[in-house]
Amino acid sequence: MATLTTEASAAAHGSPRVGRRRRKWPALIPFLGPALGFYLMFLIIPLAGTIFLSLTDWNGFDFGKIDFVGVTNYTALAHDPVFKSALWHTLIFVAVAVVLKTVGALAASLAINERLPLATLFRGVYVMPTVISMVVIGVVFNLALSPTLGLINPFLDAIGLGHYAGTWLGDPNKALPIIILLDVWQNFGIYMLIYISALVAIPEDLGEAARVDGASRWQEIRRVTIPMLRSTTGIVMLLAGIDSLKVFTTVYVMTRGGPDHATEVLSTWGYDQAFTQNDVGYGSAIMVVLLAIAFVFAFVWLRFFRKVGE
Amino acid sequence: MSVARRNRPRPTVGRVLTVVGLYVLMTLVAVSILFPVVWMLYSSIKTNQQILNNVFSLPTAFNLENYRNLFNGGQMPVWLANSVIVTLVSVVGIAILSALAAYGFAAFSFRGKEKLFIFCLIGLMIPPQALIVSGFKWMSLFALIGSRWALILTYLGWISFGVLVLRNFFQAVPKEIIEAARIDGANHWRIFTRIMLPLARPSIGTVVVLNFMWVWNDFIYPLVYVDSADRYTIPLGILQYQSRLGVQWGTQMAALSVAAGVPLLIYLIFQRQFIRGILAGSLKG
Repeated sequence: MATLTTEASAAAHGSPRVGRRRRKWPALIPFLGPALGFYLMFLIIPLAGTIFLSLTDWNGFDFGKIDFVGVTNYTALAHDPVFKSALWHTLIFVAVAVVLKTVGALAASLAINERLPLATLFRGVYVMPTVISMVVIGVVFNLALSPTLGLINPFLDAIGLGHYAGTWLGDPNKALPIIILLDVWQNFGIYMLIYISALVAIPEDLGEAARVDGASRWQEIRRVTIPMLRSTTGIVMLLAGIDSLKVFTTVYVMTRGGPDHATEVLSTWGYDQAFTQNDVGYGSAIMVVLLAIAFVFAFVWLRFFRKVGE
Repeated sequence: MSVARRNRPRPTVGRVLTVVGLYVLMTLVAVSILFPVVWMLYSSIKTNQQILNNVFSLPTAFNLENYRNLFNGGQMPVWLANSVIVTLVSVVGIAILSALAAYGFAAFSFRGKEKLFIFCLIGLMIPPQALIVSGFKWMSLFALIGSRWALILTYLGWISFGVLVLRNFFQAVPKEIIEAARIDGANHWRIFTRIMLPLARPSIGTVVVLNFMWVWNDFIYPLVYVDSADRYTIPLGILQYQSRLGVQWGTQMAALSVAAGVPLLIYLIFQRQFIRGILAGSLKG
């Protein structure tokens, strides 16, 4: 990925007639214009709109009655216990999901890299849940975990662990961990693919050297392979962080933030405030907090992007 | 294969145990993924009574009654059509828009290009649900709420991934090819359509497959932008079935199977493009 460094050389001999600057724009606009137009209209403007609305007390109905109230919505956040727990849940969700996805992906990629028979089959299966809608997965697991129909409780009964049966998503202590695990289970495969491609790129002779020195396979992995994967781990953790921050559907489908806000995250609380309570300003302020966290990730990602390019 | 080249130590007891342990673990994880999917599929051909009697039991007959219910009496055909229309229009649009822009970034040099490119990547990092509130109001200003266009236009803003992947591809095309074409008198449009696009076909495939998954599976925007059942896309419809069908497990399993089946099929057919897309999006392209 040295594309960014080729910039200068591309500029040097990419267009032979750099001097004819004025004639370039008419040729450039048909290429960049359409995409930028849609991007600005339907992504950037809603983004700016979210920030703008967070500074108003709009009820969401009358476009003529949007009053600017400054940071009132943000000071109100400080007195909202549900917001505080939603923020906390979001941070916990991201932290735990990132660690589990990274560790799970690394372990799976190392196992698959052993090139045992059927390895590609396992790889294919691990990526499968990613392509299925979170709504489908949420509904299936709602059924599986339901105390009435349910798969899990009868299964626990059958293997003699019946006393572990429970209400699962109805239990405030278990609901959030279950949703986090489900998210990890669904998405670790993506990061496994990234690790696998990095593993393939590690030169063979490094491991060779370690083996000549009498290192076991496990020592080789720990001392040679994993340190070689450091920058990949950085990318994986960042992408997993950005991705985990997007949690909404799983929570919405499985618990709607309940029981008693035990699984409330920023996006579900913002949605609730804006669309159920019609407090558009306040709901937007919650979304801005979410955006702020996303931008921290984005900033780090960009730094990384530049560094990798060098 | 490279296994031989690796010159592995001779199989020892430890190695054999490790391999067995690995297989057990890998199989457990695979079963945790395959079982729910397979259970959903085979439950969809059981009758409601059979499911209630025993949720685990295998179907005794190949009974398509649930699917018939879904497609005859239900609104499934409408939702399927909505999903297909919205997804196809959006994905084709995204591919065209991002290929054009990517060429613009790769073939031209202008002041602020780097910054504009980074600006175009913001879309990759924003949680879409952060935009639904103002997005909803924005769409209602154009009286688009309830229309498929509200969804399609929103998805057409998802150009970041395509621009990133295709720009990287176009930049990797040897400059000599373009140089030669320009000397022959080809303008940018000709170079783009005659040389770059045919070369980029695999990368465009990648962009199409990934965006297909994202648009097909998107739930947030239909939830907010669609207000009547005859405009629902499949994920939204599924959720309605959950509350409306209540205890009709069989029909619900059939609906879930249809919803999961399409992306699964695409994944199985286009696994290569999918994997390449994941890697390209992780900056390693």
